Amino acid sequence: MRNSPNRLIATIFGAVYLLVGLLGFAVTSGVGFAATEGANLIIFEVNPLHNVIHLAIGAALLFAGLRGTASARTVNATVGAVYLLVGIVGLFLLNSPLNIIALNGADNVLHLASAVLLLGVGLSLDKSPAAARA
Amino acid sequence: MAGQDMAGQSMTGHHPATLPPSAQLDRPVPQQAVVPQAHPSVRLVTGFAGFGAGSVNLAISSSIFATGSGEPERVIAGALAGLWGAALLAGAVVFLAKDRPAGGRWVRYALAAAAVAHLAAIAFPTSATAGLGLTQLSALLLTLIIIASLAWLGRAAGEKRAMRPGRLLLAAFAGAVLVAGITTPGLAASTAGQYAIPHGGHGNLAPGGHHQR
Repeated sequence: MRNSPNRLIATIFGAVYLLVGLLGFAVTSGVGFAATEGANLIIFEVNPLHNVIHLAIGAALLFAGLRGTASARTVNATVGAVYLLVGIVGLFLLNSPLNIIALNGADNVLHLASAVLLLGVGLSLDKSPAAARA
Repeated sequence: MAGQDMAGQSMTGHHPATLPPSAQLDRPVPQQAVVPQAHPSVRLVTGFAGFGAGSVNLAISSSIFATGSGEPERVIAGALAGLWGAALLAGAVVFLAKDRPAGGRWVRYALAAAAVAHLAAIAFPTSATAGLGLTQLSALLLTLIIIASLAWLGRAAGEKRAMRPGRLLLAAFAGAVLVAGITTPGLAASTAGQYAIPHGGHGNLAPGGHHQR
């Protein structure tokens, strides 16, 4: 695993997202499931839907990172692409009922950084056959 | 082009990761492998900046369309910004996946023209670009990062240096945060961003940030 950037980042990000999802439930009691005004987890506002998404993404990344390089590449690129797409679409939906992710400034930076990092690493690294078996 | 020169390069020397793929298949993966690309962190940051610049240009496009009333100059400016933003996103994907810039040598001229256009929009705002100074500045910085990174890769084409995966990911994370830190204020300063209601600005009924609808 230490030889593959994709497996490393999938495992690390997966563990972090799982932890954030679990901790999020500790601070969102009483918050509507998809409320546009969440509760604070340190500096990040979350709601229960946000927590479920964090848990699902964390589980997918962690599973793929532990499974193998090919899986990690696929999941990293997919999660990054979806995150980037949500970020772009969210630009146009922030003041609509579809704004269910309750993003604020710090969230936007974090999600955009996650998106470009996962998508970039998934697209760019571990492309050789030897790396794919790492 | 820089990326073309380095596409698929293997490093010289005796490290197992420097061997061609056919030779690597016959050898076990080393314990301390390195990423077999020249300057992979710079390559990643170039792609990150492409994603950021593409997103900001799409925000510029949506802002121009959202605030106008269909004048031809607005339609042209909005369409150009939208097409350029989409091209930057697609170009970043191709660059990262194929290790070469899409568009060959023409990409550097297009990037330089875009940088000049962003600078002109800041210095001489028109009715179509008024109020988008910070967004244009964000797009300009990201475009300059792409230009500088491609120039770096071009100059370093002869160098055969790679990084260990852990160090590479640390550098890539720093680059991603830098790009996101430049991109997010640009997006927030666009018209689309102005429609967002700050979370702390409404319904904050209890200290500590807990809200109710």
